[in-house]
Amino acid sequence: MNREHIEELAALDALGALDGEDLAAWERACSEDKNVAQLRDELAEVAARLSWLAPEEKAPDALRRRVMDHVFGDATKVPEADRSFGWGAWAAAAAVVLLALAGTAATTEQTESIVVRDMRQDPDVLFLQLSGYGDYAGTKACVLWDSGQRGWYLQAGGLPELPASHSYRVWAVDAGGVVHDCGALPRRTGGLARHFVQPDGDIDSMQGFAISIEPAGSAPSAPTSPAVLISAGLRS
Amino acid sequence: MSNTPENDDRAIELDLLARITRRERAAFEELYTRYSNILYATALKFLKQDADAQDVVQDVFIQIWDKAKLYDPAKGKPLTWALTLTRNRSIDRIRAIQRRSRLRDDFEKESTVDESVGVREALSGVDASEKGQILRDAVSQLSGQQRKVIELAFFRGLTQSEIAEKLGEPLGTVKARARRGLMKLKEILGHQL
Repeated sequence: MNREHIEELAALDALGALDGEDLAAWERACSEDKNVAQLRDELAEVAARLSWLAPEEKAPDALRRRVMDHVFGDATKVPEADRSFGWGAWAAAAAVVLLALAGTAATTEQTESIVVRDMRQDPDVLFLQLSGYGDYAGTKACVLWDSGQRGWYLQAGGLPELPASHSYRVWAVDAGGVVHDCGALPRRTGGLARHFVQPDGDIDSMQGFAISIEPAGSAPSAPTSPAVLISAGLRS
Repeated sequence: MSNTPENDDRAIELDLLARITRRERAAFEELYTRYSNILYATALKFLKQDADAQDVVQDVFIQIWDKAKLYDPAKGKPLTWALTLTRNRSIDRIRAIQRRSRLRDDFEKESTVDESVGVREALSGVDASEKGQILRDAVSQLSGQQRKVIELAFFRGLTQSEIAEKLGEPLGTVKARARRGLMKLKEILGHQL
């Protein structure tokens, strides 16, 4: 490998653009030659400096709170939803025979907006965020969960359209690890979906919520596919 | 090592990372204060959406808290490490979004938007910071072809093969432009690093 070739690979590596056989050859070269590794590090510094081209922005104050909440568990509302509930537990819970929420029903939009307004003002209402995974990274949803059993409200944005054969289905996992089917998300335009549920059953406390993709018109007792959005409390 | 402000920063940040590995909250909060704006600005430049940028920055800080012990000072400055984490996570998210867009048959629209951002946009930006100005001056000395390759690789997350395909140029040409462009930047910015 001559100097020019080394510089090419170092530059492309620093830019994150190496692929194929070049990537393997470059990793070998770096492990075998200290000078090559040094050039890699120097160009990585140069490439990282490209970030200074970004216009100055002040990180939102809310972001600091989010980060500190997550790392140190500061939020008074977060711990209930943040109890560890890994994918293994999720899978196990999904296998449990579910308590169908037979009485769930969407309210009218007017009633919905009043209830949601009240929920937002209620200090006992948890606000949970769901994050997307894989192809759904970047998709967000939030849930207002009323532990006083008045119900919960879910809003999701940026959901890709699904073929008519499938729909998004919402699941709640209570503190006991029981998975509750909360019905299909109604279709809305622009990737926005809203869902309001008033469960009949007793749910003492909630670990989190998840959304999966299920065959339209089906009523599965457990998710039949991996969740595409899931709340922090269900992540390991 | 000369006693420059950059070296002072590096020493302070190395100390902060060492304390973070010992789970010192004050050190983490200090590092957040130092890095949050540039990491957020970087993520926002890639992703354009505040919510996405916030998610990425949150993930990066969580990774710093959890993985500070994996940071290798021999491989660069702490800030470089954090910026690289931010870029990589942003690119991952862009790729995921693009995959989704393709599913929606909306890729053409997004590609059109992509063309309007990147190095060219940054060069005409209104960032008045000294560091930003130094970078813009340096990048302005590259040829348009070199800037294009750097833009597609660094800011759009394309691989060398994807760049070659997108530009309709031989892979060797893409490699040469990347090398000349980044080596030129290294030469110009040498004393700043």
